[in-house]
Amino acid sequence: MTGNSAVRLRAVSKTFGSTLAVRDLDLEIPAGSVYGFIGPNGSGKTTTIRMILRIFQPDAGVVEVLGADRGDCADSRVGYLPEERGLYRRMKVRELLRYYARLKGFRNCDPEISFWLERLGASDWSDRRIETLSKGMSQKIQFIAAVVARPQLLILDEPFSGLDPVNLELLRDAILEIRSRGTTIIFSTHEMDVAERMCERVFMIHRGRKVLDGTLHQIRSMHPANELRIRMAADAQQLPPLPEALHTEQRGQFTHCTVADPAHGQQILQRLTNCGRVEHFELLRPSLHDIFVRIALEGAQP
Amino acid sequence: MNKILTIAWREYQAMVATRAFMIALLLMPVLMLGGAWLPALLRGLETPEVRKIAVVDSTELLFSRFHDAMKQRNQQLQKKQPTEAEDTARPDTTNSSKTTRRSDSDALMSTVRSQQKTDPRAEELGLQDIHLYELEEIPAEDFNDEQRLALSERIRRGELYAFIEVPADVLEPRPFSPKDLKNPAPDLVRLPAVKWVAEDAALSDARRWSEAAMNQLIRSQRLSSSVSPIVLPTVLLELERRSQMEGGGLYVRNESGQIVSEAKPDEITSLLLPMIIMMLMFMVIMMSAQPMLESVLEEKTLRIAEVLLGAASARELMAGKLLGNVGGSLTVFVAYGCGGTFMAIQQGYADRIPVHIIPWFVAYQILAVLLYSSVFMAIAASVTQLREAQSLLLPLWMVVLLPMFVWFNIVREPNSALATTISMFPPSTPMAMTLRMATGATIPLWQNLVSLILTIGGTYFGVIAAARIYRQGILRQGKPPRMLEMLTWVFSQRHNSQPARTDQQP
Repeated sequence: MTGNSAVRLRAVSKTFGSTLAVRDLDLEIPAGSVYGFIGPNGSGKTTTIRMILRIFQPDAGVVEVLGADRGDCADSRVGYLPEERGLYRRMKVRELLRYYARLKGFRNCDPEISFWLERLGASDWSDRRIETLSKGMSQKIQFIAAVVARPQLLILDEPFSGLDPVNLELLRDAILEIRSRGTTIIFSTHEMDVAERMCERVFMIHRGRKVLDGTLHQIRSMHPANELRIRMAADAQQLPPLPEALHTEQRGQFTHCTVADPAHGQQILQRLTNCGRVEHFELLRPSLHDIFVRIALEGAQP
Repeated sequence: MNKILTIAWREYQAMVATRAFMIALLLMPVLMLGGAWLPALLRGLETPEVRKIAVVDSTELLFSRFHDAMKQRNQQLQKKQPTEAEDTARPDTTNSSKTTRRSDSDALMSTVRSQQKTDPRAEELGLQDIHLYELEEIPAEDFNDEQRLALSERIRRGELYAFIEVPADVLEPRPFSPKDLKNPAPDLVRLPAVKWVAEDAALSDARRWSEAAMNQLIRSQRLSSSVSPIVLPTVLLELERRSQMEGGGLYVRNESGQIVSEAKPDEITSLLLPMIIMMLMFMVIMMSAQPMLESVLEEKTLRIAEVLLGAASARELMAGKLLGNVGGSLTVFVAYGCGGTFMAIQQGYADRIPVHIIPWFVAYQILAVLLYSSVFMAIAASVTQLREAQSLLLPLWMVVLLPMFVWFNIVREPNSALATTISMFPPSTPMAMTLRMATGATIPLWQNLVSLILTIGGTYFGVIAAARIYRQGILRQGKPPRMLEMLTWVFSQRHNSQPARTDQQP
C-alpha cells in the first residue's frame, strides 16, 4: 500500500473503440474506509471497478491496488461481489464456496465457509445445489463467495438488491463487521440512502469523469441548502409574491422554493409572517439523492 | 499455476462427474454401431411379401431356368439358411434332389458352379432382399407397346412388381473376327440389353439379383450353343476360376538372420479398425468440445465469468478450462480404450489391437481437443445464446467432419494425394492421420512428423486466436459480433470490446 491508500488511480483513461468510458480519473481510497461509488448507468462505474480488479487494463494512467500497480488479474487480497450474480447452478453451495476460495489461493477455507454460512443463517443450504436457492439465498452465497478468502479490499456492486429488509439488515451488519476487521470496502450502488448510511466517502462518476469525491459532509457543503419547505396556516392569506425565490412549486400541503442564497430564507420568512401564521418553515439540506439527480440532469442537458 | 489447476479440476469434474457424461459415454458407441445395425434391424421388421415379376423371354430358352433359380432362392429364403443361401444366390446352383427338369450336363454344371465363387454380386445379393419372387411368363410373340403399357398399368396398380424383356438376339452367336481380336473395341463383349421395367430404384435388390442371375444364364446358354456339352462344364469351370490376391507384408531380416514377411493386416484390420479409430477420435473431440461450449456459455450468461476474471486472468481461466477438458477427453479415451481392448480380447482379436498407434493417437487427440475446444470456447464467449453459437459452429463442423466424408477413399488408398493432403491440414490431421495409420499401410515417418508439427503449429495459433476472441467476448453482452469484428479481436492485443451491458442506458 502506498501511504494509507488501498486504491489509487492516477490520470486513468479507458476507451472502447470510439467510446471514452473513463477519462483522466484520479481517485484515492483510504485503507479501512467504506467508499461509495455512485453514478448513473453507463457512467463508467463498472469500467472503473473492472480496472481496479485488473479485468481491464487502463489505456493511460496508473491503477494501484494494495500497493501493486500492475498485474493481469485481481490480487488474491481483493474480494468481489458483482451486481449480476455469478454462480454455477449445478454446484453445491459448499463446493462452490470452496472453489472460489481456492481461486483466491485460500486452501484451508472450510472453517471460514462454515462461519459465514452460520453467520448468514445459511448452514442448512451447504449441500444444496445453487439452482434450488431463491434469489435472496443466492445473494447471500454470492456475498460469502466474495468474503470467504478474507480479502483486504472488498468490492461490492449493488450488494442489497433482491434482499428483503430482514436479510438486508443481516448483510449490512456483516459488511460492517468486515469493515471493523480493517477491510477496505468499495460500495457501488444506485440507492443513495444506503450510500448515505454506510459510506464515509462517496465518489460519483458521470460520463467517465469524476464529478464528486469526498466525505458526505464535504459533498453537502459543496452543495448548500437552497430549498425551502413552507406551509401556511389554513386561515392565512394566499402566499405573497417571493422575489427572492428562483422557483416555486406546490408539493402536497407544502410549497417548495429554490433560492440562490440560503440567506434569502430570512427575507422570505419575513414576508410570510406578514401574511399570516406560518406553520412550517424549513431550510432543506440537499440529500445525496438530490445532488446525484442534479448532477445527472445537468450532465444530460444538451 | 495453482489457479490453473484449481480451474482445471473443477472443469474436469463438471465434465466427467455428471450423469449426462456417463449416459453419453454409454450411448455414443451404441448410436455409432447402431447406425450400422439399424438397416438390418429395420429389415427384420419388414414383412416379406411376394413380388411378381413378368418375363418376356424372346429367346424362349432362359425362362424355365430363370424360374428354377428363383424358386430355389425362395425356398432358401423361407428356410433362412445363410450358408446355403450362398449357393442359391446363384441361379441354377442346385443339388439334384431339388430339381426335376435338368439334363446331366446341367447337373454337372450346377456342381461346378456350386464349387466356385462365380459371380460375387449374385453371391452377395442372394438373400439381401427378404421378399419372395414369383415369375409370370408373358408370350414373346407379338409383344408390342400396347402390352408394355398394359404391364406398366399393372405395375402402377401394384399387381406386378416389374417386367423383364429378354431380347432374342442376346443369345445370337457373335463370332469374333481376327480383326476384332487384334484391336478389340470397348463394346466388343457387350450384349444387347435385357430391359427391366419397374417403379423401384435403380439399385433395388430384386433388380440387381435378376441382372446377376440372368447374366449367368445367358453366359451358360451362349457357351452351350458353341461348346460340346461334354466339355462345357470344364470350360465353365476354367472360365470361373479365380485366384485370390493375398496381401503380404514387406520382407525383413529378423534378429536370427532369417528373411521373413511382416504381418499384413487382413480385411477386418484394414477396413473396420481404421473406421473404429476414426470414430473414436471423433467421439473424443465431440464429447470434449461440446461441454466446453456449454460451460463457457453458462459462465457468460450467468455472469460467472466476471467473478472468475476477478480472481484469475483470462489466460489462466482458459488454460485451466482447456487442461480440465483435455483430462476429460483422456478419460473418454481410457474408457473406450479399456472397453475396446476388453471386447477385442473376448472376441479373440487381441493381436489386432494397434498398440503402435496409441502414442500417436494420444498426441493427436490432445492437440485436437486443444484446438477444437478452444475454438468452441471462443465461439461461446462471443455469443449469448446457444442458437447464435449453432450458426457459427456449422462451418466448423464441416471441417471436423471432412475426414469422415472421404474416409473410405483414405482407407482404400492411405498414401494417395487426397489422403496425404487431408492429413496435412491441421484441423483434419488428427482424424485423417490416425485413420491412415490404422489401415496398416506404411506411412512415411516424415509425413507423421510433418503433420504433427503442422498440427502443433495450427493448434498453437488456433488457441492464441481463440484466447483473444475469448478475452474480448466473455464480458460482452447483447448483439453477437460479426466475423470481421472477431477477426479484429484476433489481431488486437488490447481489450477494445465495449462491455455492452443491458443496464448501460443513461
